[in-house]
Amino acid sequence: MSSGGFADASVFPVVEDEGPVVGPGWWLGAVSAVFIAGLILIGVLLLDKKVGPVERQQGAIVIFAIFSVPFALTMVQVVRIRKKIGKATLSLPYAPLSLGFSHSATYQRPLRGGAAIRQIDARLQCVETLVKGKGNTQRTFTAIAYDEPATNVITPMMEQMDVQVTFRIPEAGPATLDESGITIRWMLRLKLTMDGCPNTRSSFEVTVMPVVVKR
Amino acid sequence: MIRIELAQTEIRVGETLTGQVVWNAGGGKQPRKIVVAVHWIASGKGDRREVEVIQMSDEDVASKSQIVVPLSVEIPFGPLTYDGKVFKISWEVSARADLPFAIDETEKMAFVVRPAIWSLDQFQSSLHFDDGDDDDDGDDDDDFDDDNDDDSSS
Repeated sequence: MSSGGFADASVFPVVEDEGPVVGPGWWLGAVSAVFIAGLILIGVLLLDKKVGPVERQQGAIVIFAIFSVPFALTMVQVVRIRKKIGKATLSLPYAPLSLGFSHSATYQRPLRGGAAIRQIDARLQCVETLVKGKGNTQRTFTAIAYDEPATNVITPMMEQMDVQVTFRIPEAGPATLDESGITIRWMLRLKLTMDGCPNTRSSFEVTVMPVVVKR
Repeated sequence: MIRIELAQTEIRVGETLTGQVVWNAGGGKQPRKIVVAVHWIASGKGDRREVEVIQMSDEDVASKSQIVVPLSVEIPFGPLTYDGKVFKISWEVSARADLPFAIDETEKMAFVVRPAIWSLDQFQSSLHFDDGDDDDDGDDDDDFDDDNDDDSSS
């Protein structure tokens, strides 16, 4: 995340999209795992000398057809999304943000080929992560400590989606933290329902300092 | 016997925690030194880790019946006291009297760290410090105030 001034939208701090492009965060990992499992099964089958060569080939084709379907469909969706909508950015009024304040950010994304945004479900989440142990015994614990809807206003535009997202970070915190395997991340997550294009998601980290601003 | 006396049990980041560590002889052994530390502790899921913010020691302790180590530590812009779902973060002062050929005397005292409270000017100047751009002061102030107005109306 970069920081900038307030005066001109072009110098507002801009945060990069962390996705995911398709489905929930675990989806791409799951379909990739299924695809790899299918390839492993094919390898095991082709090395099995008890099965005849013709049966091995037929079995391999069937396994490949079944296990590659979710992965292939997901890739098609990704390509369709990439063709219709560009890379998303979130412009913040300033960075880092303070606690106990209502912040308004601008979500922008290029649109192509008649794609249009129908609805956005925006949420502000505070995600805790604890990494315990080292090497093979390392385990990661994650929990959502705060989850609130964020209001959004869509400005209709032909070749770009422009959405004002307003969210409030609670005064009690916590602030952003990343130290000694412990992280606290504030995430703005957007679920986009689209017309003329598969639905997609965006997520952005907003850095929060341990400061409450009072007028 | 060693004890910790803090002037505050609740403090904000950027403020100075003050107090003292007092050791009284009480007929026991004379310590070689008194070690005082301020740290934050993250604990959860059977895991505990300490991050030391500062450690100081007083080694000028010879033949004294009472040793007083003053404490004055600025709490950095680090983690706040926090009770989350996976872990919690607490802050404490620890003191140890290093006794020769004996079990050291130790004492701990927890305190709470809250976020700093800043004025708009302080917050804005901290942002300007970050980006190194001081050319657009007037516009910055206006835009920030607009944002606040939105907040109050919502």
